[in-house]
Amino acid sequence: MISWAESVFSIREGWFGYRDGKTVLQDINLSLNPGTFYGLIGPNGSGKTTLLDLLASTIQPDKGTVLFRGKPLAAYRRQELARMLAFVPQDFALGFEYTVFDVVLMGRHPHIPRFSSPAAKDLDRVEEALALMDITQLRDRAVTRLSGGEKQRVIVARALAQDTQALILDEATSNLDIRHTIEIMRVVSDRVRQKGMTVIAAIHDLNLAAAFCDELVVLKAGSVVTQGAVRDVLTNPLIREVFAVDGHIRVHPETMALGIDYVFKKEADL
Amino acid sequence: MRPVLLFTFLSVLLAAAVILATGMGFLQISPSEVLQVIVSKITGKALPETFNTVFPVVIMDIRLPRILTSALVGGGLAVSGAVFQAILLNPLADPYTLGISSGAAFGASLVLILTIFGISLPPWVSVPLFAFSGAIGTLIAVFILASPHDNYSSNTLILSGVIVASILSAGIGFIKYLANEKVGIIIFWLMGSFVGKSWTDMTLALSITLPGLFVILYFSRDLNIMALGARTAASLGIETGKTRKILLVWASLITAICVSVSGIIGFVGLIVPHFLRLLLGPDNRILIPACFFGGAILLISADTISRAILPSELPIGVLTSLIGGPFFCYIFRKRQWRGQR
Repeated sequence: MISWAESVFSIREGWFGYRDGKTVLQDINLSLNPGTFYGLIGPNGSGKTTLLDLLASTIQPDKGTVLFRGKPLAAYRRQELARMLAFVPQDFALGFEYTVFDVVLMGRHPHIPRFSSPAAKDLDRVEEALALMDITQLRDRAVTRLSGGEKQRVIVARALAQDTQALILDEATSNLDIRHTIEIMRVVSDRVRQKGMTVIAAIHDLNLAAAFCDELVVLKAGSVVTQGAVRDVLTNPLIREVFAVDGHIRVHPETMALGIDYVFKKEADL
Repeated sequence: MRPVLLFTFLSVLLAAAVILATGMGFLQISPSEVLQVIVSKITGKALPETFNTVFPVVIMDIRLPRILTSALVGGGLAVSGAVFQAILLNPLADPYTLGISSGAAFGASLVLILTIFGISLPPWVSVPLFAFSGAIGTLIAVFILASPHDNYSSNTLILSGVIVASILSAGIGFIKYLANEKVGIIIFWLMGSFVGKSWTDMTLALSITLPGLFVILYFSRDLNIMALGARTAASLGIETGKTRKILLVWASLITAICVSVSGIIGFVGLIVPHFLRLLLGPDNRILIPACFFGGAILLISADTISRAILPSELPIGVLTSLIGGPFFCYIFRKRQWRGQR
C-alpha cells in the first residue's frame, strides 16, 4: 500500500458544485499511484469531466484539497505544473491556421523560456510525438483543414510532446477509428510501462478501458462508487448498477483479457 | 532569416511612406529635401542658405505631426484588432468589438453638444479627453458585466460589449437629436479625420500605443497558445484569465487613445490583421509587429490620398473602407477558390 504522500494525485473529501448550486462531485476520496494507467468510467453526467478538471487544476474544489505529488495543486505555479502535468480536454479549439508542427510544438511551451527559440531537445520531442501519433506526413498541413480524427491525434501528440510525468485524457479517442484508437491507447500505455507515467483517462468504451487500463475509477452521480484493478472492479452487477444495462463479462481463453457483451432485447422480443 | 528580412522590408516601406507623404500636398517638396529638413532638425545642423524657408515650417509643424499621428493610429488599431481576434478566437472581432468606439463617441458627443449649446467649458475639457474617458468607462462596464467567473470567455465579452455599445448608441442618437441641424459637427468627428493634428496628438498616441505594443509583444507567444482553447492553454502553463485581462486592457487602451485622437476609423483594425494573417500565418510574434507596420502604412496612404490627391478631403474612415473593402473582397474570393480545389 502506497501512502498518501507517495501518490501522484490524491483528493480528500473533495466537493465541487457550479454556481447554480447543483453539486457535481461529492466527498471524493481518491489516490492515484505512479506508473499506473487509470480508466475513469461512468455514465454521462456522472462528473467525469469535472473530476478531471479538478485534477488538471482548471477548477478548484469548493471543499477539500487536491494534492499533486504531495503538494496542493493551488500551490504550484502554472508553468511549473505544466512541466509535470499534461491535459487533453474534450473542448479543444484549433481556430487559426497553425500547422500541425506548430501546434505540437506548443506542447513544449512550458519548457522553452520566453523569447527563446526551441532547443534541439524540444524539436526531438516534437518529431517523436508526430511519429507516435502517425501524423508526421501532415506536419505542414494547417490544423483547420484536418479531419476530426486527425485533429484529435494532433492534440494528443501535443500532450505527448509536453513530456510530463502525469497525463489526463478526457475522451481523447472519441473521434477516432478503431485502428487509431488502439494506437493512441498503446502509445499511452507504453509511456506508462517505460517511463513510469501516470495516466488517468475518461473512457466511454468499457472494452477499451478493460484492455488497456490497470485500474478503474467508477463514478456515478458525482461519487466514486469503487476503485481498483480492472478484474476486481468490472463485474456484471457493477455494470448493471452504474450503467443500468445488462452486461456479460467474458474472459478471452488465450489472452485472458476481459471483454464485455451487452445483453439487450430487441423490441420484437418484448 | 525570414522575420529579419520581413521587418527590414516593412521598416523601409514605412520610412519611405512617411517621407513621400510628407513631400506631397499643395506645396510639392522632393523626398531629398524632406530628408534634409528632418536630418537637420535631429542633428541641429543648419540648412543651406539657398533652402526654401517655408519648407521646414510646412514639414515640421503641419505635415509630419499629422502623418506620424496617422501612422500611430493605423498601427495601433491594427495591433489592437489582431489581439481582439486572437483572444476572442473570432476573425470577426475588431478593436471596437467591446464597444470602446461607442464609449469614445459618447464622450466626444457630450462635449460637442455642450459646445453647440454655447456653454463655455473650462479649457481642460477637450474632446479627446472626454472621448478617452468614455472609452475607459465602457471598458470598465464591459468587464464588470462579463465578470471573471469564466475567465472572460469570448461569448460573455462579446455579448457584454454589444449590450453596452447599444445603450451608448442610443445615448449618442439622443445627443444627435438634441443637436438638431448642427449635428454635422458630431457626425464629422465620428467619421474620423487627421486634419490639424499636432505634435501633442502625436505624443498622446505614442504614449499609449508604444508601451501597449511592448506589453502585447511580451505576451505574443501566450496569445498563440490561447488559440488552443482556455483549458489547454492553462494546462500549458498560461495564467489564462490574467493574461486575457492584461491583453484586453492594453488593446482597449490603444483603441481608446486612437479613437480619442482621430475619431472612429473603421476597417483598419479588422482587415489589416486578417489580411496579414492570410499572408504571414497566424503566429502572433510575427503577425502583431507586422500589423503595426501594415496599419501605419495603410493609414498614411489613405490620409495622403485624401489630403493631397483628391480635390477635396474625404473622411478617412470612408476612404479606407472604399479602397480596402473591394481589395479585400478580391483576396477573400481568390482564397476561397483556392481552398475549394
